Amino acid sequence: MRNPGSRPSRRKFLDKRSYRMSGPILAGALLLSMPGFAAAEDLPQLCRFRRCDSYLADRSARRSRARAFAGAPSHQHLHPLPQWPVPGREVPGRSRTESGRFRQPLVRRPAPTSAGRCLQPQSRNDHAVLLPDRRTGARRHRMARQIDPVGWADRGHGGVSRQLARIGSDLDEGLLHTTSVSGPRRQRGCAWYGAARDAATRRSHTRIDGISDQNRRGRRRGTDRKSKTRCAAAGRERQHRVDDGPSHQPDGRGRPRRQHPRLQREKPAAEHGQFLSPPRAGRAQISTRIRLADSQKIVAIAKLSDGSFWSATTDVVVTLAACTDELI
Amino acid sequence: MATALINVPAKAKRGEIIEIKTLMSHIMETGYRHTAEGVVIPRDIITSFTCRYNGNEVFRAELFPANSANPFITFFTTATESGKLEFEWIGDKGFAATASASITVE
Repeated sequence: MRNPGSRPSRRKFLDKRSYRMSGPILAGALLLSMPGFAAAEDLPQLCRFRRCDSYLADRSARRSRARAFAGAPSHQHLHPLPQWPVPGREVPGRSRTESGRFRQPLVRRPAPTSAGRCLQPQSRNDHAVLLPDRRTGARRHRMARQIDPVGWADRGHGGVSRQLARIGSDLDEGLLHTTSVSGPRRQRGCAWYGAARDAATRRSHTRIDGISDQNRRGRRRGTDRKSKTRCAAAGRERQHRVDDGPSHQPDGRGRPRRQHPRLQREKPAAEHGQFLSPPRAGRAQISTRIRLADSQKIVAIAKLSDGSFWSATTDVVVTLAACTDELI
Repeated sequence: MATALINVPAKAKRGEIIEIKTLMSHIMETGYRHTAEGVVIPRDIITSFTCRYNGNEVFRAELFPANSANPFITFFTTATESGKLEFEWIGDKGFAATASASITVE
């Protein structure tokens, strides 16, 4: 069923005697938008590609169709419609007495660029990138997100950061270390846990200062940050507690042994301390106090006996610095 | 004179995990400060802390200038037998302090 409202437009297109330029783009778009006319066989084949809103602008299609007429000079831009006079009644849907105001030109001028042209469909790999191993992959699919590139906290991809790895290499076995990695404008305390080497891999959680900062099955990656920013109320000294939870197995396995907090230099220092928690400690929980000169990030790193490292991070807001370089 | 405060439970059940709290009074000079004349104040901190349970080391800590003054350290251990807990602090300028506490394991 055809939409009667679009009939005039169709007639305009089929009228070889019309030379007017009224609404070519609109007519094409209207035809395409109506299912009844899009399926009509008497219409010229429109652009098969996407963005077919203006088939008249497709010059290549017009030329190829013109060559289909036998004997037609190739240099002439011919319209697909027959080139001989046709009585008005032979045009379907048009009366003979129709006014010339609705006539359309046979060959239209080139459509403006804004009318849109038929574009080749993009391949499915158009958005792909070449991976380092020369395979194609979706763009930004496996990109690792940096948690905190400024604070050197990007431990979410490929293990601990270089700083942390360096610290870990400095550790000899069986000690508990607390260090901090200095960042550009930050300082942080780190707590290292070390444990007996015979420990088995286990679930643990590392807490700093009682803040709900847990690291579950973190391997060496960063923390599942659930830390809450706390205000060091009086500011000067802050309790720093590192807790590695279920470590009281009877055989003493899986117990952290070392904990190192560190602070950035002169704020007051990047390193806080090392704490060794031997197997008979029962519970690898340590609490101490730390100087903080500025609001910063504190990282606790625990080294377990199985060689794994765990870390937890928290942000601390300091309202009153404890270790300013005041003159005495 | 350095004074130490130690909190150890007097009694504990065998195998119980007990918490030990220690506090040593110390200025813990960081070594980063300087006087009005520009003279750097030398570092004076406690560098090492050790706890022994009947002669066996149950906890050890190495401290750095970032520690606060009067370092406060709490840790846990398992009460295995009645005996004595010995604490030892070693610091700069020949600082050394010891303290002890007894515990009864039932």
